[in-house]
Amino acid sequence: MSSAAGPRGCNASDPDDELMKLRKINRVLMDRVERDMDAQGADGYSLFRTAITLETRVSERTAELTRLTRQLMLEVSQRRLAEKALLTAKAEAEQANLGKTRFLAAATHDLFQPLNAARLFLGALAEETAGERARELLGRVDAALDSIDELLGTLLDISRLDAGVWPVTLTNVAVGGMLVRLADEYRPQARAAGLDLRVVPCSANVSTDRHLLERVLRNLISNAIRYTAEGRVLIGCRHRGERLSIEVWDSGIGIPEEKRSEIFEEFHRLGNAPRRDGKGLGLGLAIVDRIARLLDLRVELTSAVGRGSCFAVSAPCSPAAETAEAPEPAAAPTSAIDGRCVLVIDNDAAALDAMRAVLESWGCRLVTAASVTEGLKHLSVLGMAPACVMIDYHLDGGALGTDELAVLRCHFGDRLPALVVSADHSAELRAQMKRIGQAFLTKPISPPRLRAMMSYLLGRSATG
Amino acid sequence: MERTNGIRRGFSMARSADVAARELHQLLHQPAAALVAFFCSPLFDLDALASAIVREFGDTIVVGCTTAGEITPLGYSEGSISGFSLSSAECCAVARLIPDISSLKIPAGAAATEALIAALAERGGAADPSDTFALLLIDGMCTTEELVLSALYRRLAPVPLIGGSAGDDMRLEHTHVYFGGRFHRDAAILSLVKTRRRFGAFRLQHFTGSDIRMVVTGADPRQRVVTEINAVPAGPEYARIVGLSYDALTPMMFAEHPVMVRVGGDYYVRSIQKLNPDHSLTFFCAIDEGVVLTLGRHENMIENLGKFFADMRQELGEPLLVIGFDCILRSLEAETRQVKHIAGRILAENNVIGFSTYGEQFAGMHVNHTFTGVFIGAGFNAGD
Repeated sequence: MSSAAGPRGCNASDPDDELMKLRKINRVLMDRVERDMDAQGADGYSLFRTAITLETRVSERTAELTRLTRQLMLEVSQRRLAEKALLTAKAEAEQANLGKTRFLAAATHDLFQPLNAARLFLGALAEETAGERARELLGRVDAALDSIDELLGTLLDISRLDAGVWPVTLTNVAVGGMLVRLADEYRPQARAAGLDLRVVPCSANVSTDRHLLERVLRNLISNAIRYTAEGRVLIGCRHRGERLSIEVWDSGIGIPEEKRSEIFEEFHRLGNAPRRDGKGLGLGLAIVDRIARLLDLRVELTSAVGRGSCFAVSAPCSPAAETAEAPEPAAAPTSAIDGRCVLVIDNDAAALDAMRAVLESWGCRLVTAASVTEGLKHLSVLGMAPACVMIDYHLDGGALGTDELAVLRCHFGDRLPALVVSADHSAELRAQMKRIGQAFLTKPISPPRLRAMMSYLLGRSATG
Repeated sequence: MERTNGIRRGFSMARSADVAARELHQLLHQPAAALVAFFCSPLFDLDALASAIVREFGDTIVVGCTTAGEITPLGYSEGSISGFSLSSAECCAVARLIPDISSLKIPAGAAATEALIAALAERGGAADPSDTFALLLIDGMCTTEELVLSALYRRLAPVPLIGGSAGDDMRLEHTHVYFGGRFHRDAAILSLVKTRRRFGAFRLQHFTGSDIRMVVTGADPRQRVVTEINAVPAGPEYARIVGLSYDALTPMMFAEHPVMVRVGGDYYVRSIQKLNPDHSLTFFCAIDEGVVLTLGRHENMIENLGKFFADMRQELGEPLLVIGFDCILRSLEAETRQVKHIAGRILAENNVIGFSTYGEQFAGMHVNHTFTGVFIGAGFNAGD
């Protein structure tokens, strides 16, 4: 088999020779195993082995990363779909809600007309009626009509709050004076119920709408009196960071944990409530809730069943008002917005349509555009100057609302009131806007918040 | 030839270096070439060819090496020059000469890689494994590919690296790499290519292990020489195991009966370069005492190659260019089995440009008897 040159001349059948060979094979294998166990050296074969190990690890990691990336992308796309579905559902819900609000407003308005007519007829009938019994019955009908009147008034208020057409004027409100006045007003009612109504003196000011805050407090105080069988109602304030918490304590029936969110819904009353005057309609807290959302107030409830409740409403503190218990604002609140020219810049046509619907319902004259250049063109054609600008932060072509605003202010002066809006809910953007003192709202924009913000901006520009 | 992209392929069969360089330039020329690579027969007058390349391609980055056979747009060829060019619209490329590789120290290699990565960054590109690959051309007679790779790849991973060891038509004397206007020995050229196209680095072999094993009992790792197998002289023992007469041990037979090592669950061919007069065997790659060699078992090379390209096309689409480093033993094997023309046609159909190597590099590994390279598809990277 092998040539003469082949040195494999050994005799395969020689057992000594075979043993010697096996011994050698065994020795080099053992050496190799030991070398492999040592730290791998810089010899070629070890480096080759190391390279393979490294490559295997890299491919495994790459495969794992690829798998994770795929999975992540799948999750992202699923989340996008879910978000889209949510947005659609939200838009539908908002639409439905708006429909409900409109219907409620229209229905309430229509009901007032026959109600007034009924009152007139009732008055006429009273003139004609002589009998004692008949007068008594007429008195009851009149009282029933009063109840309907109040119910409709409250419903109308709710629908106005929901539609964001409630006039909001932010001022410095001296809380102490307001609380004393309210307590004086409710004290006879409390006394009649056998309750002690007290106010702890307070010298703080908050920045909010005076009338709406008063409305909230009226609701809380009358509820406290209504749902307390004996003991007392205490009203007082405490500072909580930069906010003032106005608290109404009672020694009433208390509210069970599971009912605490329900009571803020319309027409909801605690089943076991002692309806002292029979007037509770279950709408008070629904109004409180809406006003709180409109004014960014926080309403908190602490309660122990059988021992009493505390409703606390907190508003941002403000430095002492120049006019402590200021008289009514000179201008009617609605006039701040009504009839004013508002320039709306947004690259989203749907957003523009929505803003148009809302702002025009408030009586604003509207100029809309996708960019500032376009907006300026429209304004010059119409020969109008904007009283206020509302501008999206992220515009087409990477333009930023704040930069574009500077362009507008070159045309219409540095004091042109402006509101920046964005769908970007990041804390950074919010912080940045705060830093440069720019009024800012995140999308989707609730009409009440917009209304409040625009009243404030326009009011400020009118007075300052 | 397709003209809608910035990738050109070309070759010349001319014997004269001047004519060959001119013809190659005519085919590869494009206004803003980022990188030109060529693979030439060792038969050329290399000094004349270097001058001609400089004359034709001017300032463009040109890398190249000598071969043991070229892969041209027409398939396998010998005595020719084959190459490709990539425009700056296709990629951003940098290259660097690494000299004195027989005594390369790890820090020097790592520094060279870092300098190259920095040069790429200067041209505005990060060496991102998703869009960048490294191309290595290395002197095929240096016997230090493992060391060089270890030094270079350390800072490069996980960027894919593919490369080939230069050849000299199996004369096994001197192999050369080209960079910066002249040919070099004892050197390597490392290029980084950051491309907009989707690509895949690959390493293909068509062997599996058998149950016939042997142990290297005597070796000179520095020279890649195995003196003894199974405690007897290596050459005769190898001949006995594969069932050949000792006189029949030729490169053709080494190609037909490869030995492999098993590492990390996979088999890697350790190709035998030649039989020495002292009955020892010289290898194309690192070898050591105590290494267990397994006799390789063939799979059908043509089927394997065809299926490979079908799979790659499935993943990356039509190839605009495949830079291929094809072991010389593969073309010898194809020749023995009389399928070299078929293999060549498959390579041509898939736009392969490359050469027959004395060894292939993949990631940090120096391997043998493989077809290794990068498949550049027509599609663009996701981010593009």
